[in-house]
Amino acid sequence: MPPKVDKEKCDGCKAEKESLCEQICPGDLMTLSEDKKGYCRMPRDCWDCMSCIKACPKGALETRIPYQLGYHVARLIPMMGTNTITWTCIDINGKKETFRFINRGSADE
Amino acid sequence: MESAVKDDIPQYSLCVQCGRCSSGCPVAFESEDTPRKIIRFLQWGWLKEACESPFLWLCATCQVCKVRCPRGVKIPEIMLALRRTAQQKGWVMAGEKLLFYRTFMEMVKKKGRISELHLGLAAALGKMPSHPIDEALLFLKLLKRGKIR
Amino acid sequence: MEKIKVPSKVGIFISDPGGRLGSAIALDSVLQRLAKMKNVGRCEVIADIWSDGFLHSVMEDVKAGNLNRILWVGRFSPNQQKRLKSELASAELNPYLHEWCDIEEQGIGQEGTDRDIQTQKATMLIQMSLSRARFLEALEPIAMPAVESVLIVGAGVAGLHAATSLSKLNKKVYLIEKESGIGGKVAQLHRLYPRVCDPRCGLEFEVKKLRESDKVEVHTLSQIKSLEGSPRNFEVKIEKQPRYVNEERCNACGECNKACPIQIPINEAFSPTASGKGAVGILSKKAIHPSEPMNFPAAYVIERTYCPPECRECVKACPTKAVELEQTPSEIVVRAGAIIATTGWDAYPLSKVEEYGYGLYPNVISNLDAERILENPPELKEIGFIQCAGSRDERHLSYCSSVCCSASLKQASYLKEKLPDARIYIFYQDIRTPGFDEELYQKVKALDNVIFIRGLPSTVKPDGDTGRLKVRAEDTLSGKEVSLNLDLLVLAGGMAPSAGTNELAPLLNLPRNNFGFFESHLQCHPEESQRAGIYIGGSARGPMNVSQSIDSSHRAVVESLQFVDGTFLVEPTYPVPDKTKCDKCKRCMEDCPFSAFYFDDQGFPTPDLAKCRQCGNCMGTCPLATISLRNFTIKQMAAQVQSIKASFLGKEEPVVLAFLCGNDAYYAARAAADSGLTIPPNVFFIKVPCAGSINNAVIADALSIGIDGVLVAGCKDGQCHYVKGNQLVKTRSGDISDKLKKMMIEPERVRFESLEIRDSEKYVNLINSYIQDLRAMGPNPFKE
Repeated sequence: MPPKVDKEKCDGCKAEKESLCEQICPGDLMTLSEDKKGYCRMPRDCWDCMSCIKACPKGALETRIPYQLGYHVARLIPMMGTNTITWTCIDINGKKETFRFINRGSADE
Repeated sequence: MESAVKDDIPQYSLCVQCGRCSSGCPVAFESEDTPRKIIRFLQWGWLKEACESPFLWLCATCQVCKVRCPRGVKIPEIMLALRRTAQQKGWVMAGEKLLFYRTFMEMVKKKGRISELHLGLAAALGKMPSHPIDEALLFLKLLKRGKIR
Repeated sequence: MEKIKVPSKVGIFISDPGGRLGSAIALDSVLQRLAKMKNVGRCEVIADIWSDGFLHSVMEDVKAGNLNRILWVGRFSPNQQKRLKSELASAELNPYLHEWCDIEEQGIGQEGTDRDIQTQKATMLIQMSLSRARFLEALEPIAMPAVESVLIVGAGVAGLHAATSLSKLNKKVYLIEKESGIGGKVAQLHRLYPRVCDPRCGLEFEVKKLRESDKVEVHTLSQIKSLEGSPRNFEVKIEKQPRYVNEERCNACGECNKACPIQIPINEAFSPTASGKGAVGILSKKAIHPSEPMNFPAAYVIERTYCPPECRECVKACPTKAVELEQTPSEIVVRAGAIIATTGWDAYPLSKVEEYGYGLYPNVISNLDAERILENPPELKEIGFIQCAGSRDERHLSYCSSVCCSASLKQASYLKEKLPDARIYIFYQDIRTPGFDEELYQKVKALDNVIFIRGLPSTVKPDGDTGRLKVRAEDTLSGKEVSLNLDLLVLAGGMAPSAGTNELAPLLNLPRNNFGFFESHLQCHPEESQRAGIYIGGSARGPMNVSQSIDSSHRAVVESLQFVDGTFLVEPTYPVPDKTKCDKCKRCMEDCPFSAFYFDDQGFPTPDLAKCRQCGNCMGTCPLATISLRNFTIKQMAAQVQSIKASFLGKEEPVVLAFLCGNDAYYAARAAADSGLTIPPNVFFIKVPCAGSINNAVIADALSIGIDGVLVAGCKDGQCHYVKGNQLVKTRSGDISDKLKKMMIEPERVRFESLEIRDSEKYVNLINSYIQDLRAMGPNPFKE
């Protein structure tokens, strides 16, 4: 299921030529609509890599988990720290699990 | 306003209409007009309006307004000057207040002192009392307490 | 960012004079814990740091390379800090390699708290500072060359005074003016209050200094075309319109003026005819005339739009051959270290205030028109003034123009002098005569036949065919309606931003306030615009009277000096983007309150060091957390946060991390500890230069290691010294709260609060109530 955009929050990366979600999307699926809000132009091609969710500076994007894996209660949410990423995984029954990882590339210091 | 009249009235143009005179005035509640308003009439040059105001005759010249005035306007003196002008011009509100003042002054002229009994009777007889019985009762009450001598 | 080559060796010195700390916490166990930490070279408790032996041994260690960074724990006054830095500078320790950790301001040493808990908290606080100290870099202040000249835009009274005082300070001044002569609005006035003297007298006094000085270059008929460069070295292109008279040759003899056949209108002035009917009298001038408003430069100017193309009368008449009709616009480029904008004000167009009939009836004039006829007023009987014509009106200017009351009083008093028999009516809603102007008010009040009417007319109508005006108003003080017939009505129009302001703002990229005047921090730096190196003097900033604008222009001069002093020193703690990670999203450029960023040759946003005020808003806003202030990096902040052990009070007891704005909230917190208010052991704070410098990644870090609540404390709205840092962080922390909600975590775990500098008690109450709330919420699910 493609990312869902919160249009209230999305600011189109403040009139940048390419918004951050657009830059990062490996499938080149995200783009800006006429009102300068991000959206996924080929929802069926999205494979839920979550790159855009992590990149969005406003926290305006959210991935809905495909119904084969979970119903609408189910969610997967990343929270980016300076060198960590914290995943929150909520299953169909509302049960929650969290995982925290050190980011690749920042372990050198 | 003629200059003769104007010279008689102390300086009023300095008034900034702050209203402190009226808020401190002990008799202003009795009247629709207030000292501020009378001075306002004078600033406009509306002498007749000022003179016809019943407030003129209510003023007790207690000096509270003069003490509190931020601009040093001598309000009680203005009131007295206006009373004089009002009598000269004949703009006085007809009625008991003027009668009282006239009786008072005549008595002073004649005898050099005031007899409250005489003054009260003269003032009461000179007019048509609006509530004769009430006033008579009040008179008796005052007499009993020694307030009229 | 460059890698640290030599491993950090931090010397930790806990200053404990008199053993105060030792009695509150177990210093031995603190030392034991610290000694085991990475990068610690030496770790001691010192009773007297000023003893020779101690400082000497530290210097020895620094020289020997055993220590290369020092963390001072304890309370050090700014003077002591300076002394320690300079002492150790002699051992070649860079002054930026010191870190200071005042644990007492965090509540350590207060009575009534468990010694063990205090010891643990103190250890963590020192560890936090240690993790900052570890990443400190040696820095040197940057000296940038600065051009010793100032560009002043607008040669009104403010610009003139700024120019003369700068020339006295021996700085080169470029004074540019778009009219043909200097003097601006003030030169067009007839009299100045409160002394009721002629403004030309004061202006000539300044012009004399201009003539004598060889430091001031005046460019008339000139306007800025473009601005390049950065503060301390601006490059300004100026377009000069032709004067058609050679300034150097012309000796202002006036022969050309006599010969010129073309009459052009200057202004419409009122003069009632004998029949009492109003009419417009036209004063006129020739197409070639002296500079206006003041004849400086002392050369004539031709208004070519009025000239017939083949006319050459002035050329023939000129004995010095100064007339050059073939002149064309020219362009000059000047270099200036700073710019002072003194573009002044314009009269609000009164024709927009339709109900008063300005422009419709000849005897309705503006207060500026009145200045012109005061010189020689016609015989008038009844004159009215309407105050606040356009000002304090939501449909026109919503502010008070601040000078019109005094100006009308001045005009009334002057009119009464000239026309003692006239009756003057002043319609007003409030008479505003601040300061000593009250004297003027009292003076006018004492005059005969000047009547102040509290109540504004709603409309002005002509009185039949008499040429007079009919005005009706309610005198709210007497409660009566008055109807007046006036010969002349003066509208006290307001002060609006000038056309020059409107043109200059986009050219210099200067922000303006809601009213169109140049924006500045009105209380703290009134003359500083939001663009470094550009200052605002006089009424370009808002309505003000003559003496206020002179004041203001002088303040602008003083502020501008830092950029025109030969060298400009920059603290080396400026922001640096990490080019290996930056993806050029430009959010830092958008959010920088001072628009200090530009693209470098590779297209990376880079701060202009002269423009940057080092608030760190770019660091807070960067989505990839790649911009950092030097020696106050995101990495340091993250390391600081991660030094906190969230479960040190047990899993159930909440731990709060507060980020405090260094301009006010931090002082409030420090004063709270100093004044003996009990600081709960649950709270740790980190001082930041501006609340806007807190990156969401750092907040996320804090939450993910199990800290129960994050408090972000910044200024109140509109009080931020960096314009909008508090608002930026407010929306960002709101974003992270929303994310928490999605994660099924209480969004209140991130909280934004406004604190003022004296809100010590509010700070403590806030922390206590927050701890209560967090207790009710239960522990952070990430806590281990």
